Amino acid sequence: MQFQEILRLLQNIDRRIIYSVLFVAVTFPFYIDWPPVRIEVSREVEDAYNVIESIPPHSNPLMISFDYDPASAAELTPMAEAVLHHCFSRGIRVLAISLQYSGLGAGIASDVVPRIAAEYGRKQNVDWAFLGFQPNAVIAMLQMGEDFKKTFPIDYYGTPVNEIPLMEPIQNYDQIPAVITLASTAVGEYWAVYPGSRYGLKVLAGLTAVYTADIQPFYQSGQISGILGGLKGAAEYEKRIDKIGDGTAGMRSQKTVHYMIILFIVIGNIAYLLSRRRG
Amino acid sequence: MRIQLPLLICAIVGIFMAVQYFVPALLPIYNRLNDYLQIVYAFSIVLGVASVLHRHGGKVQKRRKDWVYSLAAIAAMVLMMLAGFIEGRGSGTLFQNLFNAVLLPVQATMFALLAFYLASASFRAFRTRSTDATVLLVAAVIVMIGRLDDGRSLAIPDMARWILNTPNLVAKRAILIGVGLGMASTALKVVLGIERSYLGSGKE
Repeated sequence: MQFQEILRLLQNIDRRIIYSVLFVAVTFPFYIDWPPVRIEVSREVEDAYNVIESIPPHSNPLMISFDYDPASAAELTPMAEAVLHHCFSRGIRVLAISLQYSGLGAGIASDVVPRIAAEYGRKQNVDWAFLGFQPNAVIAMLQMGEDFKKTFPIDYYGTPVNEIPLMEPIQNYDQIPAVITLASTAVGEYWAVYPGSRYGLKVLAGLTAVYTADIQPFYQSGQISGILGGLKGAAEYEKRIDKIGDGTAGMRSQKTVHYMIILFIVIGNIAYLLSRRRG
Repeated sequence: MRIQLPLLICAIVGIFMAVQYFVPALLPIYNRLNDYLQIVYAFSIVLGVASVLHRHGGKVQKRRKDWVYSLAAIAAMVLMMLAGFIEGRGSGTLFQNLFNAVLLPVQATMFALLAFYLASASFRAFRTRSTDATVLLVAAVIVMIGRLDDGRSLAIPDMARWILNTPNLVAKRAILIGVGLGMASTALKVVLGIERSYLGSGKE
């Protein structure tokens, strides 16, 4: 085979080869716990941790809004689990809701919250409650600023909110120490713009890596008090609370994939430059 | 009247929503308007379900191309509804099991395919064909390595952070300010009745 022909092939590697290599790169790290990953806790994650850590145990709850659907679960569920481990291990109460427009976030919350709560023996409606889903995020956010019970008259399981002990002291955002939105859409931004600016609610954001860049201006301006960005954010939080979970495991896979993509880019460029030099 | 009345309602509500932000005494009316909005939004869900049934139902009835998929869509919707209504939505129910075993993996799989397309597209697009393309390529590689906290001896994580927090943020801020100004001017045009396309034809 001519050298020029090899260069041409390297510039146009068949996508099936790329897909196959990537498949191996994604899956193997989950089975062999390799490669090692080094996680450094960033300032954004440290800030988010400090806000949650400052909530007194058995007092008013941290609000967690599950504003994502299953498509983003690989990145955001490890984050949700890490935050829930932090809360329940310290006795911090949790008030879960979902403002994801299709309601799929509610399905995720109804699986994740009771599961982690059970690990610590936390009681439903006393240590945690899940109010369910509202489709119109902005209106629900504004309504909760006035009256939670109007926005969520019953919880996800059909219990009237008036009968939930956790909700007794809660009228509106004034009784909520902070909210963390786990979001894969602009809902994350709405939390900063509406409850954050209008009602002075402390907002934390756990976002997909793609969306993290969009929300950074709100962190710099102080409208968002802390960010967990993508799978790395989840892994950093796991390190901060000293409980390794799916975030760290996923980072191994992410590492091999990133390097695999870089390798393909380098191969393509070397072949491109050599073929150009040879005319 | 068909035009004037909606314009008048829009102007009154629009001006009220701007004013109430600064006048706490108007809070009860503001809360009432929010209640109305929730009700209107709830109707849109009913409308959505009716639209799905109408569209796919018609396709099944007339045995149009790929009508089987429409039947599957209707059957899935009805099954999830029945499961939710009959047994509830708690842990271990059919509704929750269908969600965890079907919907969750299907949606996650669809999104996961993106990684494969992205890898293939990056390989083909990131070529040093020009100075701009080279800058883009170098920035992408630095951010990819930096996000892994690798290359500390070369300060790559710091460089990645700088790329994300400085040039990226400048562009994002510019877009945000532009979008904000655009939204404000569009809202003003709607409230003042200059922008009327939401009424339908856009003409009186």
